[in-house]
Amino acid sequence: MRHIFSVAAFLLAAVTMTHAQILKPVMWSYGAKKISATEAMVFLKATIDDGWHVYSQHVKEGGPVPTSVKFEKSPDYLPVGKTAEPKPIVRMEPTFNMKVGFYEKSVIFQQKIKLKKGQVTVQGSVNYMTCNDKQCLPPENVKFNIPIN
Amino acid sequence: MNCNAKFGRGIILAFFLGSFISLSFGAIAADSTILNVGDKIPELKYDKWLKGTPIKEYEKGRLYIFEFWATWCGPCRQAMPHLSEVAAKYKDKITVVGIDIWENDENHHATITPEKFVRMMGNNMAYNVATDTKDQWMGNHWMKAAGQEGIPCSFMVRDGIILWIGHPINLDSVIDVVNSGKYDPVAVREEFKKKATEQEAQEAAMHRIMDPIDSAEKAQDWTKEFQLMDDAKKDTSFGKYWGGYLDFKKFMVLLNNFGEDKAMAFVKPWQATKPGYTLSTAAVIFQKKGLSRDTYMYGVELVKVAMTSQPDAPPPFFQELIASGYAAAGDYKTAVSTLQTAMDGANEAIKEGKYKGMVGPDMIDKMQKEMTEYKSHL
Repeated sequence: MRHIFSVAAFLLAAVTMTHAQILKPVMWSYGAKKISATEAMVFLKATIDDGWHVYSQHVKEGGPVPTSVKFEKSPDYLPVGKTAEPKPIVRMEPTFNMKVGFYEKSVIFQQKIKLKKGQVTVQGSVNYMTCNDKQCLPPENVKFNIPIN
Repeated sequence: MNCNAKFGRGIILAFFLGSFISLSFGAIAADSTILNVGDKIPELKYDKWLKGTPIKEYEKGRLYIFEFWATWCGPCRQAMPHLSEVAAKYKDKITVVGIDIWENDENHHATITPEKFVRMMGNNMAYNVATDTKDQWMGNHWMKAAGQEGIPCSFMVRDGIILWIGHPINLDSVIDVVNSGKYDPVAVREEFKKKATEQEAQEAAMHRIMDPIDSAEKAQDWTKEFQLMDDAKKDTSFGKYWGGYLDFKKFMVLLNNFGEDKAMAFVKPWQATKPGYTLSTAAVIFQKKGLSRDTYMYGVELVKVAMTSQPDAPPPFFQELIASGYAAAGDYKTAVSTLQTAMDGANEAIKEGKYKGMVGPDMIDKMQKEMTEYKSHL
């Protein structure tokens, strides 16, 4: 259901595809909506192929590399609080032999941003890794540029 | 919650203001597969030999299995007990070495050190273990050079020649074949090459098709752009995946450059085929000023149908969008009543704790502002 959100609520979204995504199990897209004159919400959405998982930002020792989001420092904006994530699926993963929080099909991470001027471009990167039940791909760092008007 | 399937990846591409959508297919490492079955192995380099005895030289006729893994890789961990069995069963003929790669870089850190991980695994990792060098020699010169992206991944080596590269799940069968003497690395090599070529061809095809379309659009050469899009859709392997996106792109170009009539004459039969991009299409229509009432109502209808077909999704999102459609059409009375329904639904959902993280006070704030705006026109 989350895609509704991403489509209907976005004021503006920019899509950047790195590499030939046709062969990649995870595709990232970005968007933002203004929630007041001085605040915006930034959305980072991973669309995940069947069978593949992207992990929560909170993972115990010995688990996969957690997803992490970094924002570039800028005089134009300031991230407010932590990056929010929906409740992950938490399951005993036989491959990890521990309980792991993950997402399948899609996930949207959200970050509230305080705007210090009218038009800003929020820059940063997402680091994530993905596995299915057979293999894992190495953690990848994906940069984003999200214009907010 | 199966709505994703309906939209697939398309929706992401769909939004929004055409000029901001940029597709940039990164550079493809065309020479990524420089290491193949049948090739001489690259040099073995490591940072720490954590377990077992470092290999000083390769013993003639002995099989070496280099197993690439990482602490954060569940499937690698799952393969370890069996690798331990293989190491024990064939201890006279085979040496197994786990090579720990891709642990940390400037952007990510594993949750556990390899040392601690190896201790924790104990007898479930009963073979040699070494960590990659700081500059990722093994990750780059073995794995990446062989075009291998996923782990676990095993390299089987004898007499300095790579006999096989693959998932450790297949090790047993390969060991049997290799030991039987019937193994033909040349045939396996051809198979590898074929796969690599197919992959490169697919990636090259993306560039070949999308790059000219983007250039034509930049140059505002619409005739050329549309011709290229039509051709692209005829390419079945490409069209299947990108057809919807191309049509949505075409709709935006038409609406922004050819006027409402041409755009609508295109979009209606297209949307009738249920290609996805429904809400995106509606949103593009609502954002455009000065269209006819019929067009806005067509957009409203699209959203209504989408709402019925996705009962799991929060109705206020659809209703808010529908309200913006009525507002765009100048029907502020209906816009206000629809938005009121959306706000009531959203407030209710917040009270009940439904649609958490999706429907919240932010959304109410936004709708309140829209409400003020709509009401000012009454």
